[in-house]
Amino acid sequence: MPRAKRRADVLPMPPADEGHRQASKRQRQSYTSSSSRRNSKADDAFSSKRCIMWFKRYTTMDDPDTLGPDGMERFCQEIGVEPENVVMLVLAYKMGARQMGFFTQSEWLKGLTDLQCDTIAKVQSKLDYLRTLLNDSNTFKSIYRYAYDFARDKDQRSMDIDTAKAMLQLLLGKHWILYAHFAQFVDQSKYKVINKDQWSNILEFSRTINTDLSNYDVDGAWPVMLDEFVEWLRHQRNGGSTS
Amino acid sequence: MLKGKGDQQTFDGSWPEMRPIILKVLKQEAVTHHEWQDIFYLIHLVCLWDEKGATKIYECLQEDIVSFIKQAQARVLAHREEQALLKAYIVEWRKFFTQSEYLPMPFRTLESVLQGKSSSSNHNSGSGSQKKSSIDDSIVRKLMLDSWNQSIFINIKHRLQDSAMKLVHAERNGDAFDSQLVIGVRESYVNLCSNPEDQLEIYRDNFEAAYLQATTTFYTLKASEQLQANGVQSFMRYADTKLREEEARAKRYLEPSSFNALTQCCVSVLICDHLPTLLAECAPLIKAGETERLQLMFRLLDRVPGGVEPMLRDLENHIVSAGLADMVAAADIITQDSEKYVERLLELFRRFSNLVREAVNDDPRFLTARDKAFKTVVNDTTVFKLELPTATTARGTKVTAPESKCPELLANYCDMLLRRTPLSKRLTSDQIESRLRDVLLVLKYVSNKDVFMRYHKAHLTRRLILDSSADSEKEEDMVEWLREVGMPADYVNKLARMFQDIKVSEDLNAQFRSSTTRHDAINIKILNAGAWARGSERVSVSLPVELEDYIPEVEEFYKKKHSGRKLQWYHHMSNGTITFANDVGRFDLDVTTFQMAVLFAWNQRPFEKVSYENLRLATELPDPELRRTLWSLVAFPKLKRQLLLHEPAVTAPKDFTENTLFWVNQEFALIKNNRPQRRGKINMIGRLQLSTERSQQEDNQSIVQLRILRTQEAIIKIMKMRKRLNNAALQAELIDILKNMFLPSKKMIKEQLEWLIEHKYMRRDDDDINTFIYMA
Repeated sequence: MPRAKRRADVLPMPPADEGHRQASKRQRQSYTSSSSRRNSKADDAFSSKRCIMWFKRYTTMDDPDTLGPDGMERFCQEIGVEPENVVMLVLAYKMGARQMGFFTQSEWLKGLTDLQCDTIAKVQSKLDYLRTLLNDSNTFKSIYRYAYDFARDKDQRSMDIDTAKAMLQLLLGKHWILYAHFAQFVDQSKYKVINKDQWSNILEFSRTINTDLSNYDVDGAWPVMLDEFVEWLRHQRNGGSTS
Repeated sequence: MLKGKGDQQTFDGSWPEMRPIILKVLKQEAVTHHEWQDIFYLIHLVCLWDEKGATKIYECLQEDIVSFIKQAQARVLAHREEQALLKAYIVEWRKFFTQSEYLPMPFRTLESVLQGKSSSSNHNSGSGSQKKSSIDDSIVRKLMLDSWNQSIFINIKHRLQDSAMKLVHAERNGDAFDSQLVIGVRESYVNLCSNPEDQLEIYRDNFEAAYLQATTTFYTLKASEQLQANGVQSFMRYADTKLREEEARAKRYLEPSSFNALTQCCVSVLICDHLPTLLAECAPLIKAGETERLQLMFRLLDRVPGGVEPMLRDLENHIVSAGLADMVAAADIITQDSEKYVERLLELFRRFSNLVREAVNDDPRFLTARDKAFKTVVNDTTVFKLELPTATTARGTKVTAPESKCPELLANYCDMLLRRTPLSKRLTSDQIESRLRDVLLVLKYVSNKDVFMRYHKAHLTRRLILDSSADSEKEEDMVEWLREVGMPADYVNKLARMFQDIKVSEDLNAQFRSSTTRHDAINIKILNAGAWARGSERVSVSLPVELEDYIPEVEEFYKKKHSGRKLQWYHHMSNGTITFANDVGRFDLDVTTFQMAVLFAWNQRPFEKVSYENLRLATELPDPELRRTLWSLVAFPKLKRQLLLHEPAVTAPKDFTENTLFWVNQEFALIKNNRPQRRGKINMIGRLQLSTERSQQEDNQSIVQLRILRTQEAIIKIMKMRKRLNNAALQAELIDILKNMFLPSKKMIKEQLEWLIEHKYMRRDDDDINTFIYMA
């Protein structure tokens, strides 16, 4: 589970995500059809064999197909990224990783083939690109929604509140001015879990509602949790201003 | 008589002959038959034979007409004084106008010739293309009217108009005069218009405009005067009379097309300009119940767009505040006595319904306002409220808004009317019926009808089981009436099933009695648990052997009738009569089975003192039930001497301890006129039966539960049909479906929506949180 961490600094690259993804998709398709020939041609071209070999370095004999927490730590160390850095979430999103802290071999291969990475250096060179994905509002929304299922305890339908807070901090902490208030609200409330609907609507809320709450429509379809948050925050602010 | 043929065929030859006749006609002098015929003939001839004849006749005719008009003008203008001028003008105009209908007749031939080549004609009679020979289309007539217009009317129309307006003004001030004068002026405006597309053009631009202007000026002044001199109330009467007067006047002096404009003009000056002053008067009038004045005000304000809305608001506010004030003032009585409460509500309702009927003739808008206000009063929670338990979900406690206790009291009142009570005995059948109808009337305004249903059903259950209905026919009527007022069908059907059930059970009971060898003092009720039982109400008790013995017998009997059906015993619903004997006398006591179980503990040891703990062991009743039952035996409100005595003394059932001792009061007796009786019968069941300690709370909880289910059910129903719906529309449809049961709170709706989303019955649109999509 990620510790509270700031999001990556402002990223200079333009969000050229769509084009890139399609391009890499094409590459992958052509690659799968004629892999051997390509590999022999250029040494720095992507090799799935090398990619899998690299993966194996992080797995144990007990479970050769899954990269577990220990391997994850080593992987992060080698590419020079802290595990709780938001870029790891984007990477996991690219791989379509199902469970936080683990990569399966197929996830790994899919994600890295997509990115055309089979070495540490190549992944490092992609990190900036991965960060730019966060700048595109649609991609961010997908990552945000993905994060819910990624971080959720798979035994439960909903995400427990501490995980939720940490993930929100990671994803929205920097951009959503009301996040700190929201965390405070959650702490004093009786909410123990956050369901997916609430999760999705928190993003909408952070994007559309003014910091002074002036455009919050109580009659809208906002989940009750957000109604209560707004009520709480207004009360908090009034209490502060009248005293 | 006929002269040379050649002469008459040319214009030059015949004009000298025609002219005097034409002039005579113009001047309205007598024309002989011959002359009249000749002129037809001559014109015909000239037009036929002289190629230029028609044009020439036309030109000469024009000259003559103009010169005639000039003379008329001179005659009119000879009058300096306005009214005289007007009179003279009207005289001349009438004459001329009449002649304008005769003079064109001989010129038919001429006209058809001219129209044939109308382009050469020097005036714009292009419209002659239509073959209408009606007098309106006549070129000659047009020539006459146009000439009149150009040479006289244009010059003096302002003077005419002004004097006409002065006359109207005088009439408004009460001076009589010849209305024909004004009418004449109007007619000349209308008839002098040569624009065939819009006959009323000149009239509208001049006469109508002037008339409206004069009206506005007149009433702007008068209205303010009236208002200041006589106050608002008489001003309203003034405005009302004047409006009608002006409408009548308009019929005389204006063309029909102007009526609307005039009314608007009057309304604007008499009402709109003083709207705030008038409206300020509304609330006090409603308060004072001044129906006549309100009627007047309504008539006035209804003419103004948006004028009635403030009245509606005033009415609603008044009903709400008066209604609530009334309730609060009588709070002490009505919270205790449901009869008084309902009667008070009805009294309010009648008062305001009368007001609406008398003041605004049951105008639908006011009826709506009344209904809205009445809803507020009925559902108000200041005087008393029903606290529904908090719906505890995994997320923690939720505070539900308190609701009005009205439906509970309505149900209680129904019970009093339908049960054998002093009230129902006092009333005739018709009176009871009309009161039940009244209840339904109030019920219409209750937003939490489901509460009424629940209480009504509980009362009905009690009445049917204890056999305490005053009139079983009325009971069934009531169920039908509930159906009529739109109660949910499944609920009403359930009630109806209870009646059937009771009848079936009576048959079974008769059969059982004939089959048993023992005495027939037993009465069993075998009922369908689905329709009757409520929740986890079964309470265990150790029955007296006398009753216990029956159980296998009944079960055996029933098994023969219906194999495979299971009987469950609801002892808390049963009751019986026991005979209590002591030194004073013998008494028949109607008691619940629980009371019976407690009292039978002394059967073997009548003089012993028994501890609470031992009673508990003997009866096996759960603690709260035992306390309640004991309390009813040591402190029954109707008794001066209680059946049981206890020590140490306590003031509430919860204060009994394990060691509290109870014993039978050997002095027990019924007291009448301060004297102990030797015989007697008393019912000790009271409200005890059928309401176990838990059930009250359970009742309320299950109301909440049921609401949640109903809401979910309704949402699914709507979404299944609509597939995709936005929040506002969904809420509207939902409220429509549920309104006959309860008013779902926004929060509850949202919670259920979220629950359904979480359980994947539906989802939100990815891009619009306000849109929901059904998921099959």
